[in-house]
Amino acid sequence: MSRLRETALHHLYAGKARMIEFNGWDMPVWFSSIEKEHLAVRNAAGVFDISHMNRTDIEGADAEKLLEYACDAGISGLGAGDMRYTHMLNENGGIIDDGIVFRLEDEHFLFVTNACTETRVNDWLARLVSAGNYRAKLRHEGPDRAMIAVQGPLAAQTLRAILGADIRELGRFKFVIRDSLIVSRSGYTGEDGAELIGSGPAVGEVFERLLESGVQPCGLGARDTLRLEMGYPLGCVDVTEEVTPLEMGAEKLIDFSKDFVGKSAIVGKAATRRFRGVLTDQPAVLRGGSEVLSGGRKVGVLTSGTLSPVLRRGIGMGFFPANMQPGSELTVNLRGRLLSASLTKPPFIRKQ
Amino acid sequence: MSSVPQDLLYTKEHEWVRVLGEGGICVVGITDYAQSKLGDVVVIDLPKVGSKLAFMQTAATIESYKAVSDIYSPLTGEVKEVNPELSSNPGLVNAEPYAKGWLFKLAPSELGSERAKLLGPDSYANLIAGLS
Repeated sequence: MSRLRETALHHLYAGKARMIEFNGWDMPVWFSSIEKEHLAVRNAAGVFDISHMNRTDIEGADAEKLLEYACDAGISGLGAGDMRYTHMLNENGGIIDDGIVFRLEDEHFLFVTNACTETRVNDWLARLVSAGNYRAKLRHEGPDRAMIAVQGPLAAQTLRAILGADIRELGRFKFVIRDSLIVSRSGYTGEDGAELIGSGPAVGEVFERLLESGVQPCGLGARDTLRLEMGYPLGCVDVTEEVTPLEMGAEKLIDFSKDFVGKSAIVGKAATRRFRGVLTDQPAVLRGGSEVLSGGRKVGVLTSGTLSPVLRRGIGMGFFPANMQPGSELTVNLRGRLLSASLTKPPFIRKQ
Repeated sequence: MSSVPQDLLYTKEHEWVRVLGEGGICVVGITDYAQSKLGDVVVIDLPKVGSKLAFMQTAATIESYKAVSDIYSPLTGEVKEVNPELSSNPGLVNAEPYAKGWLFKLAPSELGSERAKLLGPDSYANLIAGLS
C-alpha cells in the first residue's frame, strides 16, 4: 500500500486526533468525539480541515465557455465574488461529480470538487479543454494549499476577531479575497459559516487562532453526521455516475437554455426515482447498503445513514420511487433487524 | 493510555469480568481501550435476562457512529441482570467503562475451568500495548 497523502495542515493536529484513510488521504475522523464535535457546530463553532477537496484553477479567455459546457448550472450569470453549486455530467447524464464554481475574475475561476473523483474530474476537464480547443489553462492546487470550513452560530464573530472581516456582510454563496485568502460564506453543515482557501501557512495560522479562541476542531465523522441531518448528498457515496441530477431533485439548478454535456440525455425527461430521506421511530445507526421495504416489497436501498445526534433517531438517504409520498411508512432492514421508519423530504432538522 | 484495573479479568476481545464474592455472580463490560477505539457508543443491544450464554458466544452488540461490534460472553452462564441505564444513556460505556457502563451480570457455571482462559491485567495491558 502506498503512503497516504497528508494535507498542509496535517502537522498541526497529528497525534491529537483519531485518523482514518479517506480516499488516499490521512484524515482526522474525530478529535474528541463525533457527538461532541457535531453539537459544537450546531450550538457554537467548529473547524474542519477539508484541504483534501480537489481544487482546479481555470483561467483563460474561454474559461467561462468551458465551465458552461462542463456544468449543468448556469455559470455566465456569475459575477466576480459569486459561487454556484453545480454538477458535472457525463454524456449519459450521469453525475461525474458535484462541486462549487467560484468566479475569481472575469476569465478566472476555481472549481472545488470531491477528493474521491480527483483523477476522473481532472482527466475529464482536460479532455473537454482539448476536444473543444478552449483557451483555458487548468492548474490543480497542490499539497502546499489548504482549505478549512468554520461552521456554527458563533463562526462569524470568531472569524471577525481573527480576520478583521465580517462574513455576515456577505450574502450566502458569496466570497471575498482578503490577504490572499479566499473567504466564502458557505459550508456543508446547515449552519452559518465560512470556508477559507489559501496557502498552507496562511490557512494554518487561521486554524490555530480559531483553536486558541475555543473553536472545536472537528473530524470527518461529524462532517458526515452534520451533512446527513441536512440531507446533503455526498459524492461517490450518494452521488455516482449512475445518478442523474433529475433523480437528485436538482431541476431548478439546471440551466436548460444553454448547451452542456449530458443535456440531451436528461432534457424533457422525468425521473422515476428520487433521492429522499428515511427517518426511524427509534434510536438506530442507519448504514448504507440497508434495504428499505414498503408493504413487504423492496423499494430502495440506503446509500448512507447515521444516528442523528440532535434527533436521537436513525436517519438515512437513498433513492425511492418518484411517486412515493413523503410520510409513507417504511421498514428498514438493518442487518436483519426490522425498524419502522417513514419517507421524508430532508432536511431532517429545520434551521432558522 | 487506556486504564486496566488490577482487580479484573480480561478477554483478548476486550471484555472485562469482575468476579463478585465467591463467584456466584460475574459482572461483564468492555474495556477502556475498546471504548476509546469505538468512539461514542450510541446504541447497545443487550442479551435477555434468563438467556444462557456459552464461553465467547456473541452476547451483545455495541454500535458507535462508525462501527458495529459484537460483544462476547467471557464465561458460560445465565444472564441474571442487564444494565438498565444503557438504553437511555449508552454513553456511560465511554464515560465509565468499568463502573456505571457495565453491560450485564451472569451466574457462571464453568468458572473453575474457564477462569484460566481469561487474561490477567498485566497480560491484557501487554496485549493492548502491542496493538496501539
